[in-house]
Amino acid sequence: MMNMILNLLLMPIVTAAICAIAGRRQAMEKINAVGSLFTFLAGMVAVYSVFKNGPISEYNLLYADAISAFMVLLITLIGLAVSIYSIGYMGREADSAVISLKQLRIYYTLLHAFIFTMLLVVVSDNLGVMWIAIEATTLASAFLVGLYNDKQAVEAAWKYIITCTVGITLALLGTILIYTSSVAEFGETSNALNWSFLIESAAKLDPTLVKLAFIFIIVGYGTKAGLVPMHSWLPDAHSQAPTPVSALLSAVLLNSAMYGIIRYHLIATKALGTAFSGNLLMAFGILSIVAASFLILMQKEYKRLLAYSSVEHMGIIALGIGFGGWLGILGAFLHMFNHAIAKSLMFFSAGYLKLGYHTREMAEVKGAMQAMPYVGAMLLLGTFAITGSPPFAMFLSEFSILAAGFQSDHFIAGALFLLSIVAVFCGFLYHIGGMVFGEAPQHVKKLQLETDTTLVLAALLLLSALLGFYVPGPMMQMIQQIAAIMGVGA
Amino acid sequence: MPYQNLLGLLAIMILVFAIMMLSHRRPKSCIPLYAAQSLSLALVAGIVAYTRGISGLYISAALIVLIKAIAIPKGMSHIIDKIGVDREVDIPVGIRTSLLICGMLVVLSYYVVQPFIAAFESPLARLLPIAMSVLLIGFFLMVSRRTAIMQLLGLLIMENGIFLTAMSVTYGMPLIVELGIFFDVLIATLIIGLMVFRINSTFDSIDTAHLRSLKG
Amino acid sequence: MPALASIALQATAVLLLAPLIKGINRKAKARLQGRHGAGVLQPYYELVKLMKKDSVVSETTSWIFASAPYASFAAMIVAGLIVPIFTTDLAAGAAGDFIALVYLFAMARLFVALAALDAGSSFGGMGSSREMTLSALAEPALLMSVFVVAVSAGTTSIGAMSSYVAGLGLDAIPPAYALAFVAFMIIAFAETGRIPFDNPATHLELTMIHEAMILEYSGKQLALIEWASSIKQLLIMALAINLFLPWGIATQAAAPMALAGSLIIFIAKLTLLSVMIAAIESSTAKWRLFRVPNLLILSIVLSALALISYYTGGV
Repeated sequence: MMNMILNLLLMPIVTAAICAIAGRRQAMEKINAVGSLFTFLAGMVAVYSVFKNGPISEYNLLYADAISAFMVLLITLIGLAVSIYSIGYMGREADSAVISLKQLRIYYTLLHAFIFTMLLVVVSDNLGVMWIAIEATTLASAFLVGLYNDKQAVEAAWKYIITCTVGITLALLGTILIYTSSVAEFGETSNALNWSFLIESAAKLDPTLVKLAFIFIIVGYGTKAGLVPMHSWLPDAHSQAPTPVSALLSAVLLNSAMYGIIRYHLIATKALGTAFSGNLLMAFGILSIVAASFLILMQKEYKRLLAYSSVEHMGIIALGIGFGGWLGILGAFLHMFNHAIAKSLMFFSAGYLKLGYHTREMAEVKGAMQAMPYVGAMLLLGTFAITGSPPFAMFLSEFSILAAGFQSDHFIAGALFLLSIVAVFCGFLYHIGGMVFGEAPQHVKKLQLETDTTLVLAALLLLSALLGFYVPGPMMQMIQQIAAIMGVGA
Repeated sequence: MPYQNLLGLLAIMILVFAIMMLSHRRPKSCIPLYAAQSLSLALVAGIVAYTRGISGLYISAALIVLIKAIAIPKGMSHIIDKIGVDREVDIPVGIRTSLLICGMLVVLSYYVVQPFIAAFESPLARLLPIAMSVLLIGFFLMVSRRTAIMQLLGLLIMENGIFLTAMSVTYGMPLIVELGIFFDVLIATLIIGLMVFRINSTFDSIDTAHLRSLKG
Repeated sequence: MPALASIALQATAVLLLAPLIKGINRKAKARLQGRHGAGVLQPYYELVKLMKKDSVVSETTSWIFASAPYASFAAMIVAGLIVPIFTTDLAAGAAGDFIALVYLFAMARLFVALAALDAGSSFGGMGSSREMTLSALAEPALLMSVFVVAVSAGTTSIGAMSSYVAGLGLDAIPPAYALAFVAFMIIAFAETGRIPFDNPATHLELTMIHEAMILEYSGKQLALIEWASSIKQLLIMALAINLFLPWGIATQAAAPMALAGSLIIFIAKLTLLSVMIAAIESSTAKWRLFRVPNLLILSIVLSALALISYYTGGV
């Protein structure tokens, strides 16, 4: 099965192309679902191959090792969930004439193009191609964010594209610096920018250049990953975008940007030791966590609340990577996965809140349990999932990172982390509880969810719960492989 | 390295064009300056390609001329004409202060970059402070101007600065990466251009001061 | 060649060339604007005409009004002796360097401005205040723009600077000179009162800067003042040419043939520069007074950058 990665990448492109020319809405929706399914299957094939046989390398440009495989799993899974959810949600938006058929077509086309760009990020070997792919994710999702075309959506889309492009331009500087250090040592070979080549010989790279490069990378890609203080675009973009897009942005895009940082972090640790890049990651991580927890307490709109929660969780992942060690790595990667699932669940439920209540303000949403029992229940259980209460999966990953912090003697960071999680838990319960309980206002329509939507929501919730009890063997083994790449014994 | 002085001269011209763009109020008069700056950049690429024998850079130079010196300026003029917004926009920072800040940014980048030049082996490394200044000036333009078109221009100037940086430390990146970057810049400009139209049709102005309603 | 003859030759050249520059500039502007324009020698005829006329002098003026034309003219002649025209080996070169030149310009400007105030008319006062405002920025900018050349030549004597630059090969010229040249040209426009700083052909008093100051003058005094301002224009352009693009100039006041050749090359460069200035003038309108300092600050920033880039040994 040669060219697995290429096949994987082709799926979403083909889906996007067909959606662009499809005539009727039904056709688009079916193609969208089928395309996602194929993407998921192709992803599974590639993941299985990497799991069993080790890294794949194609055309000297594409490369998939355990980290890539993990990300591919994440992207394709959430992509599938989003595609199925979109049929119901965007279908309702089209029915109530909030968006036109043309906008729906743009939506589905760009959705799959967006998934393609994110997949490209995690399977590129050449760091330059990875840069191009990350920039492409901004470009592909800009119009998705501004889809509703009202004043706030346009503002959000503008801030998104400008802030992220500036950040990514800085990351380009970092890429150039890494290339310089590679060329200075080894000359202009054809794989001078390939990660697989650089990681082998990282110890010989000029430390000054690698340091400079990493600083630019963490600021640049960190803008895309939503690390404080470069996160200003995030609440706007995630709250104004259509709900399925918000889920993709929060659950997948931020992780892809973090993936970019991790790749450079690996090179930096080989070249400089763990202290430099690990400390930077920890600093940004704890800053994001603390800032986000404050902002969560002050929120007034529920989608912005979820957006700031994403900022916090990205901070947690950065903190975990920064702490390092087996527990840190285990926690960080599990957290990526768990956050993706739980955040998607929350966004999906919140989407129906918006459809029923026609408002984004939390103060105006009351009695969801009464008006939409299924959605209300999902929202409540999802809150527990996302704030890291047992028995849900986030508890395990957050605990793991906390333990890693204390194990590596970073007591202050660990304490701040703990305090912030508690604050966020209280804040979320307060806000969501206010929305779920109580009397529903009269004008709220009682929505009947389609079967596929209910199934998706249930599946996500169950997955989150399941992973809280038991991390499947293959997944644990994959994370062990990842830890091996990151130079950490199990 | 031969033509060193000519390259230095071209680099300085690129910087001068960036500063001059900061001293103009009307977006339309900045566009020929951007085209001239991109042309100088293409010349730099061409000369480096000629003296180092890197054939990939010829393609880069040609692309710069086509995309940055012809297509993008034409596109931007088209947008400005369509929107009809060539007014003098109120600039928060003021032109005189902007110019002085430009000077300070150049001094800053010389001061910061000078110690690192030794770490680079390329003979063009002395151009690095100039490239960083262009980057900083582009960033400053983005931050200090409120018209959406000028923010796009600042972004484009930053891209030019990055290309000059790549020239000065590594004679340019591998061809496939360069091609990808050009493509990205082109699509980004297109999308931002379309976005400017959207802003104009939604807000009836491209003053980004209107884009301040989402807070918190 | 004996020093006195050389000085006389230079002074004559300056006096005779000055109106020619004015004429070329006007003719080029006219052509670019689609008109025929007066002949290139028209300024000469104007000077002769003015010399033959009587002057009308206001009774409320003082000795400043009477002496300003002579002071200004004298300053310009002396300035003409220390700027290289067709040779860098100036007999009077030791009399003053670049800073002295700037001060000579300032002296001329001072007298004319005071004279304008002396006449007591409001237009004169307005012109003076505008002129002084602009010169407050333009003079330091003028000084700074030549600093790079002065620093690299190790001297502020204009003749020595010019021969230093002439001695550099084309590939040894620091690119910082290009920045300094751009800065200098901006100041050249300011000092000679070209568009966009001032419109020399305007009839509207409210838009005048230089013209407003000389409204009260007539007859011989007016001729002297006009001549002095043409000489200033010539000198500024000579500085631009001979400090930044001096190749072809005679570096020793030796054989008459060499001097003649140098003179011809100089006139050719001068014509070219005049036409370029006319082209730039024709392509823009006079700016509002409050926007003009922006341009001057741009010039100062460029000069500072030239110095920085020269000093950091980089470019």
